[in-house]
Amino acid sequence: MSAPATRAGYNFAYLDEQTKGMIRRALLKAVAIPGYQVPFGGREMPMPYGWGTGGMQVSAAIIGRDDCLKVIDQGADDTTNAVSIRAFFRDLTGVATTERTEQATLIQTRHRIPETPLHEDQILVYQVPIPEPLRFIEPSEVETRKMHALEDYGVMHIKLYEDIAQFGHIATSYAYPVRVNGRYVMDPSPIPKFDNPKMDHSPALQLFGAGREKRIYAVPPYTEVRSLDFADHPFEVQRWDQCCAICGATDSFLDEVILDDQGGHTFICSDTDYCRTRLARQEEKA
Amino acid sequence: MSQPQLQAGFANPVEDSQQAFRHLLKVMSEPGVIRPLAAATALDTLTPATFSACQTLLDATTTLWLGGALDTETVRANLGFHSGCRIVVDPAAADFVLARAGELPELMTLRAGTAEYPDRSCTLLVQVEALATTATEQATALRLSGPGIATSRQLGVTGLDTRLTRYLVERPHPFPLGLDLVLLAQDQVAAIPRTTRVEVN
Repeated sequence: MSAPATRAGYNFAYLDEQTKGMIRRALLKAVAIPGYQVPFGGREMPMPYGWGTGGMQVSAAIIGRDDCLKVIDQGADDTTNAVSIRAFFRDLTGVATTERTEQATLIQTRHRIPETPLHEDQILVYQVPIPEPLRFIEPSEVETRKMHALEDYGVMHIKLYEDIAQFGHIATSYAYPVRVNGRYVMDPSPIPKFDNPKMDHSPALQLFGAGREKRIYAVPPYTEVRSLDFADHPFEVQRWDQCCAICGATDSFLDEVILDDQGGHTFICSDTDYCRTRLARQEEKA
Repeated sequence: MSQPQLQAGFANPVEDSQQAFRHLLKVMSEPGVIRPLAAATALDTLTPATFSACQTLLDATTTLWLGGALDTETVRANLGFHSGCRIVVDPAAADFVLARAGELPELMTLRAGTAEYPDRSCTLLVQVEALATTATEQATALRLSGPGIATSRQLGVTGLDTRLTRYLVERPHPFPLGLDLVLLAQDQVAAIPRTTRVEVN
């Protein structure tokens, strides 16, 4: 009758049921008001802020026995943050885990959206450090709340304009502000702006959790997500002259890897599952 | 006077409320989608779907306004026992309003949130006769569009009244203020959040 082998003495998915209920009610309001930051009673998690406590609380409130969980950190399934969060949920829920994007029903991510297009009934949970896109401009929460209420977003464009004045182009390359459903300006979390277009009209549900700041927000499927820009400086994503040194991909987000102390460097896919899948397919053909 | 009968709630509270919530999350993020919801049994005047939603959403920190035919001693006693929610007299104080469509309080008196905190708004739990994706004779046929819907979606609801339908079509609360609607049939659930544009076919 109870869930399979999980650590004794803990509730399913760590959080107590009343906390889950509170987060669940916040999530329903978040999807009803796309891009709006819902305050919630963030709990202490058994790891420090900045390691994804917000994302973990959202995941813990929604995860169930039938889920298949994937966790990525900067696109990789095998880095410290991803491995430990995956182990945490395997320990405390006993759910299946995977590294394959298309098999996962629930993907918790730190700072990337998988390259493989997401499909309906998948849920992407983002770990968010600073949920308020206006915070760097206006430190007061009372003021930023008012700015959101009045749709007073001119200052956001000034920030982007200052980039153009200084560098000749919009130099903001991650946490690039977006407007959701033509209303709220939202921080997409520090994903590279390369990933911003994937958020627009995505068939998957996107949920955002900020543990330290205690905010939850959401983008329902098939919702317009527009990156802010100017008519004469339209939004652009990063491009590379190189391809991935492992799989040869030209369409994925590349990480620069330093090879020696002589300035040698190369580029590889940041999304390890995408890279591995491509490589396996090439070997099959050969 | 006899004591109201207490009745069993979810058999596995942790798992059942998680499953029920995932259906609620699905229907709220994709308005007009119909999902099964029947982890609990029926409770007096409440259908299995309604009783499941109540156990999933309500607890000691939430307030509920209960009205019309659904408001019985047995329902009050059981919701109090299973969730510990406070049942309020003033609909303007309620986080959740539970009633049939024709027995809802005046909708403009309910909490619709504030410009700074639009999430502090009431969620309507409306028990209806039936939900369908195709038009039937008795059903009000709604055409939905907006976030969560690729193009448009059809939803047939049996048991909507003209006042609630008019609210959905006219949306008198200016966005982001508004009421979010959860429609609960016998063992199915659908939802229409405040972002959805509603037309009556």
